[in-house]
Amino acid sequence: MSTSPAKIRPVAGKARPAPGGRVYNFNAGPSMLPLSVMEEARAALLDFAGLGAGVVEISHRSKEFLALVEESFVLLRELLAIPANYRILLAHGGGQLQMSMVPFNLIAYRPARKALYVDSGLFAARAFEIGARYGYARVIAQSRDDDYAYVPACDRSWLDPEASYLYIATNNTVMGTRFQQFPDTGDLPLVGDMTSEILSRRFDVSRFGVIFAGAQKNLAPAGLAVVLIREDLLGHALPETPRILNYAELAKDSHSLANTPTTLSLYMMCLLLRWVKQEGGLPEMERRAERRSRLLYDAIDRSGGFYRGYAQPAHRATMNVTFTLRDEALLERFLAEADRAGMYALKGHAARGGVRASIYNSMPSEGVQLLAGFMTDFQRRAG
Amino acid sequence: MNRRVFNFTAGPSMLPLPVLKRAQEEWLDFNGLGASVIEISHLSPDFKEVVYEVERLLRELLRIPANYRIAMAHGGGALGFSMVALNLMALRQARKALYVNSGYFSGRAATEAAKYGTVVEIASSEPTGFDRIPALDPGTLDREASYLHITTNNTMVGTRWQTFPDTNGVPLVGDATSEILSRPMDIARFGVLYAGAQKNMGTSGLNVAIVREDLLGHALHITPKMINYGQLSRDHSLTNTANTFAIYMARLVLEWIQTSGGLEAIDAQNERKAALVYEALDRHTGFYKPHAHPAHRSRMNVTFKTPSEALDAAFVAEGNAEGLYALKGHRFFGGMRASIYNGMPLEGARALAGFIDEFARRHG
Repeated sequence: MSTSPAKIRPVAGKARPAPGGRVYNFNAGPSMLPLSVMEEARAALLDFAGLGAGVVEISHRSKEFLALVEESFVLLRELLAIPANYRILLAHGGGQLQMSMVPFNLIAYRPARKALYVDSGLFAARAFEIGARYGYARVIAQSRDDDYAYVPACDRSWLDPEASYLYIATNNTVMGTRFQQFPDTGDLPLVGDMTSEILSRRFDVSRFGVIFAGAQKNLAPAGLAVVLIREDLLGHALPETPRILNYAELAKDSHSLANTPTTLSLYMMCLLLRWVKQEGGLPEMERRAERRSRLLYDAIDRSGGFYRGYAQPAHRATMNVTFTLRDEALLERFLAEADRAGMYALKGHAARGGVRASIYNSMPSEGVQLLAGFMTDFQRRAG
Repeated sequence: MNRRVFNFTAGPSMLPLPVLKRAQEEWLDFNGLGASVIEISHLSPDFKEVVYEVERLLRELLRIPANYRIAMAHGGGALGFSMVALNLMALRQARKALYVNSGYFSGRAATEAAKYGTVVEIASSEPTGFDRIPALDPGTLDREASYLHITTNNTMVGTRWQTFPDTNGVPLVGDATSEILSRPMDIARFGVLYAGAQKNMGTSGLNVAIVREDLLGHALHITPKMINYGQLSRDHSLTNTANTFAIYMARLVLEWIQTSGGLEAIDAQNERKAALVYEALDRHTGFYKPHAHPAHRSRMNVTFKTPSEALDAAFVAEGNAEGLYALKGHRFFGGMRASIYNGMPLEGARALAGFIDEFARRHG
């Protein structure tokens, strides 16, 4: 009994410039992971913790697996400085299932069942549409009319005291913008979708009522979401909330394992959190993110208009750099040549087009230097 | 590397060695891309090919009729409980669903469904400690019900439906989490057959539903898109970022089943494995007490006890020392549970049978 043999043949004519004979992977998520993490996980597929069984073959309730979850919780608390009155929850699905879980769990926090949204990008808009299914959702600020090139200002006087929460996407993956500062919402719980930037910058968790992040960018492989929630926001779920989507149910179990979780993602999250700590924690992740994104933004800004950034400079993200070429006829050639040079998945989101370089925590600075150099070289040859 | 154990855990569970080796082999470099299958977009051509292959192999191996769609969602069987009710409760106006209570997870499924309509428990084996599948009289089924839910194999107590009931026109919904792909099944008997992947279809975090077309389109308004059968099947289950690792592993497992001879060969192998273990238990009737009534025994989960809790604990510990891993029963049930899914080789069942004999000789 066997599976057909693996056919690993490097695609002809493509460079493999990254460590381990791999490419620099600019995909927006699922995204590139550190080679050391990948190598450790590879060994654990067949034998984890000396058990003689692979990490995806053991019970999520085994002591070896529970130890991984406990360690992850300790690391998350430490790295993000999570206050004691916040719970860490583990959920199935990614960020998009959270767009339903937030209203399921929070829209009834206040009797008016109102929710406020900032429409700053594609996923924020989707969250608003979903929220409207469960109560009275309203957009209080938007940049849709300006093609989402910035994050709209959000004045405190626009906040409705009867609302249950204000929802923002702190980093807009498709557009490449981010909230440089987070709005002050007073008593109104602030909900932040940090899927594409968690662990890349320092911030004050206590500004938020709920923070969630799909794992597949900076935390782990896809299939998992991490939720941080202030304790007093638990217990307001609509009665029709499925048990597995109910924050209070997820909080009941000390390891937040309401059912069998996606064990590979949880295991790899633990490895990734160890890696972040070992590399210097959030201050270092933030410093690297600034440096990486500056290299690319400088290449755009110095190109005399050959490259055009989508995001307004004051609103630029450090995780997703989006731009196009003045002469869009050159776009396909740009992408094809970059791909051949070992820079994978630079094509922009279908809704935006152009180029998107997603440079999450795991992207080595060499990958970004390679891209910045390629941009200069391409302009010289084609400009 | 440490000696590979025979892993009897109930799920996530033992996988075929060739599947794990293949995953290791291409772990850093999938399809020659220079990136891992877990590092690429779920919408990339390379990953879409994986999804299509999973759909194709499921159709081929399970002989899924053309008027059935496939929907793969996040979460395991437990989210599947909610999905059934959210998608089907409103199929008929009465918003009523019938549930057969044959074990712990059947009860869980019914509790979830009660959030969305009227749930009627039409049969239960709780009075006999879930040692059997309760009898059912099809003629008495309420034809106004939107569906009838059964758990085809009861993981915790070790019983299964040997044949599936006639339902008097009510769509039959089967939770086959702990036995899908272990035997040929007549899909046409079911309106929906669903299963968490972490026993016979790969790794955890994924559930797969096979849904008859005419049952689509009745989801309640509050149903998230990511757990809506119709939406998922239209999107080839790529409605949002999918659990790419679990889908990839499902492909490897399905390929392994196919090259092993398909479900007929797997079925015969499972019959041999279960017979080895049950026959060993039945050789020592005064010592071991199998939980399930012989006519209702599961071939995937064998549950039994020794005369005392102390001996149960000794059985688990001594078994573990001999490379028979995770034989402890579910915490609600106690005793022992040997889960012998597709990934358990015949030698594992033989080793367990030998240990059952030996332990009874030493302690009996």
